[in-house]
Amino acid sequence: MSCKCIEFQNVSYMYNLGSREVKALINVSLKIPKGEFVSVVGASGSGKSTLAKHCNGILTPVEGNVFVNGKNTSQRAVKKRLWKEVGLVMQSPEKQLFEATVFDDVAFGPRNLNLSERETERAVEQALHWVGLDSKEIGKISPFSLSGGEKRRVAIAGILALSPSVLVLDEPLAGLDPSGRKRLLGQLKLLHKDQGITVVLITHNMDDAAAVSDRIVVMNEGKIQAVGPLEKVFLSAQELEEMGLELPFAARLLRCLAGRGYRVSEGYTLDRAAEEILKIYRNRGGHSV
Amino acid sequence: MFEGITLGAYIPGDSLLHKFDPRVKIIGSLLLIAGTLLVSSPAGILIYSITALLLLVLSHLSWSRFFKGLRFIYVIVALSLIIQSFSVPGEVLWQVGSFNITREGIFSGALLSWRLLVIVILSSLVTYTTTSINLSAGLERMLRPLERLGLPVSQLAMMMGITISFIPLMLEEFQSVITAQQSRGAGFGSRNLIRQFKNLLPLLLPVVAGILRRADELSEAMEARCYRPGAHRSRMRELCLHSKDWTALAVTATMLAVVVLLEYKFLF
Repeated sequence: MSCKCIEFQNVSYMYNLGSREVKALINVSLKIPKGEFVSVVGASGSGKSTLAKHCNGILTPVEGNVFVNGKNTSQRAVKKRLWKEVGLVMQSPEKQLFEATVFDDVAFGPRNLNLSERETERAVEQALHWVGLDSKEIGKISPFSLSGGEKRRVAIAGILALSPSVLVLDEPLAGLDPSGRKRLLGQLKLLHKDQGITVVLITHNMDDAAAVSDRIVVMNEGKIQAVGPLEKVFLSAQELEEMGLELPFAARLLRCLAGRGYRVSEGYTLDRAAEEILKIYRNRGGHSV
Repeated sequence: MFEGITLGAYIPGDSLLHKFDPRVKIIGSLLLIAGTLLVSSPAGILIYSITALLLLVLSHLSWSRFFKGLRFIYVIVALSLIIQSFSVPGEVLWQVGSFNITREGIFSGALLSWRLLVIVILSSLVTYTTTSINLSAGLERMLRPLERLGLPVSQLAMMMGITISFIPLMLEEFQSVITAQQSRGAGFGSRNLIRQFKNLLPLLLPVVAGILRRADELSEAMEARCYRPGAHRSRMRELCLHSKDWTALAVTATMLAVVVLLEYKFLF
């Protein structure tokens, strides 16, 4: 069990227990090994955020168990310390900013860890660097004066400064402009590669999921519909559509070409689609540039 | 932490109580509350409690949900019972330190907390069965005569309506900021008072900032839909009193009249 980083065992969770019960998770079982980059995709209300909050003990299962690094999150002692191991970036995390300066805000977590001022300083600089910001440049500015994208990155740095071994991000890309999305996604990927931390990315965007993850978890109405690598999960476009999701753009493009009688194989990333299109082009006697 | 608190939140329904004119609900509940406060005999309070419970039945609200939503009130009710039983002089039953618990104290404390409970039930019934829009419409209509005195009635009603509908949103905001800061190690559950106080800052600042931002957005959205403060605004559903509304008013007014006659008969 300890080799698995996060393990959900038959987890069910309901909101408003007692009155007007809403089932958010129904009998969810899932294993996320150490060092993996997993995306959890699903439409609004599919239980993604509830799943995310179970990862660091903000919520604990009504039924079933969640284990993080082999420890049961339902135990009070485990639950209280879990924030040190699992960093959870909530939806619109920029709402949690409160300190007078960017530096102090990012330092809030490390100070709660009782790090010394010097260690804190290093953790803050490092965290801001990971999200592509310079501590010297913006450390002394008020976080409220930053742009939306910068605020988001500062908030994520606030979690990274805890140097968690698992990072759970709930819709971190929502509301960012295309360049902001691309940059943040790239930084996440880099962080995963360099630091070897486990990343759980919650999103409803298949393109983002396809671009970065090793494995994909598809959720629908509180249940896990499919788990696996891209190729396996993106089997049926129609099924995904019924769940309020969509294949990645590249996959739709390739299917569209296949529908018009071109011989292309399946693919899920833009690079892959470009290769397939070039193949058609070459087969027709065109010259590759 | 805030799950299940529904104070001041409307619960949709189709009951008689839901259908009463908001003015009737406001005035009727005020009349009943006045009666509960004026009546001095336990029998009288009992009659008002039965009336309140009868209205609760008529509202078709779930009892468990209704009373769960009032759980903060119970603390106040219990406190008033305790304080009262210490502070009224009379026949001493027990001594706790330098305090005396008296028979008269317990009796008046019980009556007071009983009254409080009935009043809370009555007023919650109004907010549970009336949308904030309807509530402020009723208040606006009732206060309209004061407009001649220069009181900005429609603005006040709008402010009231917005305040009421923002309460659940604020609780949500609090909840989400609490979880976010907990993820960064803020210990809101800490027993240490100084630590708790220090922890308020990371909680209050984002929430206040969030509320200001929401207020800003709301005012822009209202202006975009041509809201002008003070301009005469008609309503989609103009209020209109039906026979059931007059009956309810008559019943509650009569109850109060009987109480006043019985309690203050020396006046006549």
